[in-house]
Amino acid sequence: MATDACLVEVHNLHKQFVVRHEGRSSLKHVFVRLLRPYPHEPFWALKGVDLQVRGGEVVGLIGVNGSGKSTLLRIIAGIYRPTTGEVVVRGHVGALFELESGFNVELTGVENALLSGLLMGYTRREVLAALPAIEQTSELGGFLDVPVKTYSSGMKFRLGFGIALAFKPEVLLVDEVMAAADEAFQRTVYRRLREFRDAGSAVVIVSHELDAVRAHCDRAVWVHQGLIRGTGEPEQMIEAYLSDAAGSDGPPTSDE
Amino acid sequence: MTEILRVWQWREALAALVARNIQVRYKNSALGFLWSFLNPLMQIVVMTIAFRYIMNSPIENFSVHLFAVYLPWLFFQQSLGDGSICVLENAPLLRKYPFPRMILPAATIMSNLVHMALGGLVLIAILLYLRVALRPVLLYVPLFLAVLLVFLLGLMLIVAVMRMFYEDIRFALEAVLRLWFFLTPLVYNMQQVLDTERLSLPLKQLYVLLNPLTPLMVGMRAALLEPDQWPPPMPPAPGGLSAGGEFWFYFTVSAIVSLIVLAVGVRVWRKYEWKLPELM
Repeated sequence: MATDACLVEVHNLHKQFVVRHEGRSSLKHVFVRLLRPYPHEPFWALKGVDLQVRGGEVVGLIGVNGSGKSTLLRIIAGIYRPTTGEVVVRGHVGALFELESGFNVELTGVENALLSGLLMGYTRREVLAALPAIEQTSELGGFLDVPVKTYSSGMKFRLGFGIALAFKPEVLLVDEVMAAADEAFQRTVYRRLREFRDAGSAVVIVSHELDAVRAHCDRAVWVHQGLIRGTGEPEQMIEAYLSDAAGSDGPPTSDE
Repeated sequence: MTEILRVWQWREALAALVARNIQVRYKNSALGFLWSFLNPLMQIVVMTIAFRYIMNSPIENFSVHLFAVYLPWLFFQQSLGDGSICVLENAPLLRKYPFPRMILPAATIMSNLVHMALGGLVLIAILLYLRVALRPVLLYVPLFLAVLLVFLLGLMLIVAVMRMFYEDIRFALEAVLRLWFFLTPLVYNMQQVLDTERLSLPLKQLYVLLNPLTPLMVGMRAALLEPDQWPPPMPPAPGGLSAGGEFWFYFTVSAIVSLIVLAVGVRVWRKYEWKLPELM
């Protein structure tokens, strides 16, 4: 296993969002729009981020809400496109975002897994071959053949986790979704993440559970206001982050 | 072109989305797929009573005449409605996987094509029962359907993106489609438009020129039901431009407009497809 290959490379990444305060607009805003065309209020979520993640390490992204952690993760996953800058990902990506909403509730677990796998870019044959692995990882058993609308949030998490791991991704991205899982399954999750790391995958997690970052990450990256404030030993980074958070009393902005 | 190639490469995902759309549409309904037949049939029965029996429409075989164009119209209407929400509806998928975004509208069109094909089976049965003459002009039907698809896809891409910005699209679309239904020769035919003295000739020409659906629907109906009177009637082309006959003049305009709409749609889509998850 080439465990020190650089699997994720981010260079000078900038990401601009347009903040819209009222969601989708109505006709009266059309006229305002015509005078002041969209985009009217830019917001820089990331302002020049550099990050390398090697195979064989678990990296934890920490930082207050709205610092840009999730945006960074989504750009690595290919969901958002960078405004400027460069992102190179070597290998397949497995992602765990927004488990609650990611499934079609009318379809069964297996049908959802099939659709998800195909939308991840795998062939039908590959997805069918991965079904046993999904069943094993998710520990859902017979529930896989039941519509997802009957699932608890923990079960949706298990299904999502099973799908994310089923295709043996070289890059595994996890956005704080752990809360849905029970204690025992959380331990399973971290065990599986370590297995992936040991097999040479790069794992990036976003977490506000600092104890988990301490326990399971090889390296922590502190993201602050769209920039990387520091990177290093989880213990040190968490300490720096906490003392900074205690020092500033600015309220966190909305998470993005 | 590259877009088509990419959709083709993702055909398995596309097929799965189409299957899901069809599966989910009639989930929890006792009659299920039968609704694909029942819905248009019921409407045709009611419209036949209203227009043929009560309002004395002069069209012979009114219900069949209506059915022949009502199927593609329903396809158009339903696809546009589904297409306007195909992005919103699949937001969770867009926010999870970086698949080519074009497969969402493509899947919407294809699942509605399946529904139209089901209705088409009924139409074919009726045509066989009526012993309608099969003439080579029947081969024009796929051509008209192809232009309809081009026009529809272009509109869908525009509407789907605009829906992300303006909630109004939902209501506007409903209103526009209802008007459009009556502004297209569906419950009446082109001959009646030509015969009316209330509209001046320039108005009649505009009526056809401004609505790309009109030549398509007129052509489809004529090719299916009145192949012996081909080409179908149309107003004289403005400025005597109708070298190949009036019908083909208006058809060409319709095809050109459709291609322009598709080009605009693809441009709009390209510009926003990777911003869609940010807009939700």
